[in-house]
Amino acid sequence: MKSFIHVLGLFLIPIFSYCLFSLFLIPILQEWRFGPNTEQQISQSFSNAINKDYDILILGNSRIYRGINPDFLIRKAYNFSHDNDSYNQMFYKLKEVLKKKEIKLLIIGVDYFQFSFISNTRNYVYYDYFDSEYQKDFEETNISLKTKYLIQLINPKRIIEILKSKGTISILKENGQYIKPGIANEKQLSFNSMKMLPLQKRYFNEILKLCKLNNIDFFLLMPPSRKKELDNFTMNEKKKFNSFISKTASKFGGKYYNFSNSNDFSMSDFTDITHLNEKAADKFTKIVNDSIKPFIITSHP
Amino acid sequence: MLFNSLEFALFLPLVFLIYWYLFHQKLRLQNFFILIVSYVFYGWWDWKFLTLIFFSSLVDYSIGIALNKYEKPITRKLLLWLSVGFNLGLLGFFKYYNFFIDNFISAFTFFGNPISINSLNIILPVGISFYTFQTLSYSIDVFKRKISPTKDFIAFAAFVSFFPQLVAGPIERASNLLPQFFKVREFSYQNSVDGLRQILWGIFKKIVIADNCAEFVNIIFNNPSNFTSLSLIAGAILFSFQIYCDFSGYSDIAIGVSKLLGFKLMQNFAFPYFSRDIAEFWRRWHISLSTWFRDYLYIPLGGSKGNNYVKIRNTFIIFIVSGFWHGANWTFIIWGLLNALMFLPLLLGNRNRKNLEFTNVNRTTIKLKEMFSIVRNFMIVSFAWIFFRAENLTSAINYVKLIFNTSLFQLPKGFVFASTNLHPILLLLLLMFFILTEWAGKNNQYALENLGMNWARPKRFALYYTIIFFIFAFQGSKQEFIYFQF
Repeated sequence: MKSFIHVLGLFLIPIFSYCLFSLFLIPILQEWRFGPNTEQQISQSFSNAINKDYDILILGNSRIYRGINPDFLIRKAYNFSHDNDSYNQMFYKLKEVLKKKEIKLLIIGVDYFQFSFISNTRNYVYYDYFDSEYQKDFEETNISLKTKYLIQLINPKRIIEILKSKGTISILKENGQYIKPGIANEKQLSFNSMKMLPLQKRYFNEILKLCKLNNIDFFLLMPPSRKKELDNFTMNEKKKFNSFISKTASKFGGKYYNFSNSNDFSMSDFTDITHLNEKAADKFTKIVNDSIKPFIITSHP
Repeated sequence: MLFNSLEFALFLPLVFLIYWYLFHQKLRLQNFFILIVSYVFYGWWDWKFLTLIFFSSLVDYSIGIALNKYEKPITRKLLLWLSVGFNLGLLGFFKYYNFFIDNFISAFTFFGNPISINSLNIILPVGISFYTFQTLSYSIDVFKRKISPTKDFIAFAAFVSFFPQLVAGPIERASNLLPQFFKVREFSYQNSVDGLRQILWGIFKKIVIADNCAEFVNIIFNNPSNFTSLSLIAGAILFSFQIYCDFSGYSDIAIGVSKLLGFKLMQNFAFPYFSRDIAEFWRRWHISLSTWFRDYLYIPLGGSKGNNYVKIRNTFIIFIVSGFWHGANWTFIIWGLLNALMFLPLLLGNRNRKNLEFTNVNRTTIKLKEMFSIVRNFMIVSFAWIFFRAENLTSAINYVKLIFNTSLFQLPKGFVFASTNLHPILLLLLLMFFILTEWAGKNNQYALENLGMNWARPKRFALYYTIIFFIFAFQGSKQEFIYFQF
């Protein structure tokens, strides 16, 4: 027995050493080569969303996270979006913010694929920030998610990624906008579905109800899309989707702006198949501002 | 608790240390400890079903004792049928109730007499098909006086709930496993190291091969109309690897863990994809289930003795029942039926026992003719797996139809796999590594059993580190073991 434990211990020493090395060093190296990691991004966003002073809160997925620069809006704003967020996450974020402060205006991101997924990729961080109610929509426990995250950290692929990286560092601005460099090309493709998950529809409605309850005026916003992304959906599907969003927006007294077909943007404005680059994000925010400005001036002088 | 979870990674060393350090040579305490940790292991998934497994153990334990007490054949037969009725009733309720209700409703509606019976929201207890068969075999063996019933309830309950094989087998016979609970277990260095090697190989099969194949398979099977014939064929082949590595990986871990605790479980897979015909495949695939059906169903029905009618009837019965055992879905029944149809020509032509010895026992090279037979058999098996994998019969037929269309000779489109963890080429290389390792170890109980045993320790460790590296670097997204749902 003793010799078994001894040999097993010897065998495991290099593995444990590697794991320890990865757990401590990889996050540091990642930040150095890629910018703030998920945990750091969410931590900074939550702190700013609660402590900063602003009138307009912005919620959405990565397309809004990167595509809206709050500095170009008529009122002080904070971009509280994150990658892979859908309406369930947006709802709980809004709830958290409303616990601490009042907001007057809300911009909510909409995409044709927005109702089609329930993402758990950031739950290992979100579980620590949201109401425990949020966890009811997911099967995985906090421990298993954190374990998964740690296992990802010790994946040797991470080291290879760090070594291969060209040092294009992402930045999370103080206003909440995330800048991730990149150049779009023709080869990029996307496979999105327009499935309407009942859970996301329910949360979408909950957000709008919460707005009504707290007298928050809201704007639903679909950012510009590349043609290849829009090709995932038929004309009829898009028509049906837009009609649903418009009707729901007017039911709760909000407005819907769809810029997905905007001619003001071309492939050079994107970093990949779906996200606007920094310059295009500024341009897009100005367009959005022009659209919502008249309403804000009259309703929130 | 899943074998591929952090909980289990903490649970196993703890059990191992307590088992050998605190209870060494204390047989009854060791058995009691096994019972407790097995219930913890099972209860981790849903503690409410512990009552079911406890009750099941109690019923068959009592029937076993009663079978020994009463000599009258009619009483003994009644007791046996009580056990059969109880175990199959349990299985029937939890696994097949809704299937039968839905099909009754469909049949009555089809004949113009719609009826309304409510189906129930029944949760299938994990492993129920495995432990009910295990307890059933105990009662049958006691009835046939092949074994004596045990009076030690703790040992019996530990045998029924023995955690390494509780939820997905191997389905152990009482004659093999139960006596091991009455023998003082000594720690063996060789056995433990062997167990760890088998666990390592099982984890590799599950996490690297099965889970990565699953990602491609899910994409293809979820939207077959988006793919060319060649991609659909690749999907079916990858599913063959997925299900084999998933299930045999589980068995390897189960057998390996048992070795760590001083137990020896039966071999469940003997390199089935190196079989040259379907009969050989079924002697090598899920051995604990096929021998169970052979001993308790096929042989009592007359087996392959008798005229052609009996042979055909028995073959259909055993394969269809075996298919149905897997799940309450017509896809499994058709899968069983297909296997029966492929097996029958061999049986009727007396060629079903042609390939008893392993191919190339003493050679690493392979004859072209043998290779052709292996590949042909693998393709036949993969074809049947389409029905096993499909959500329903319509999807399966649609999948097969899509294979045989004009796109048969178009190359697969790689871009659709953009969301998978691994590049298809990398998966192919890993599959090659896997096949070559399995081929090299095909004359053993599992591929790694003797591989590198005569190498120096650093070289042997290097092999294990390489496999561990593969597990870390190329792990697929975590999937449940397929056979949990059965």
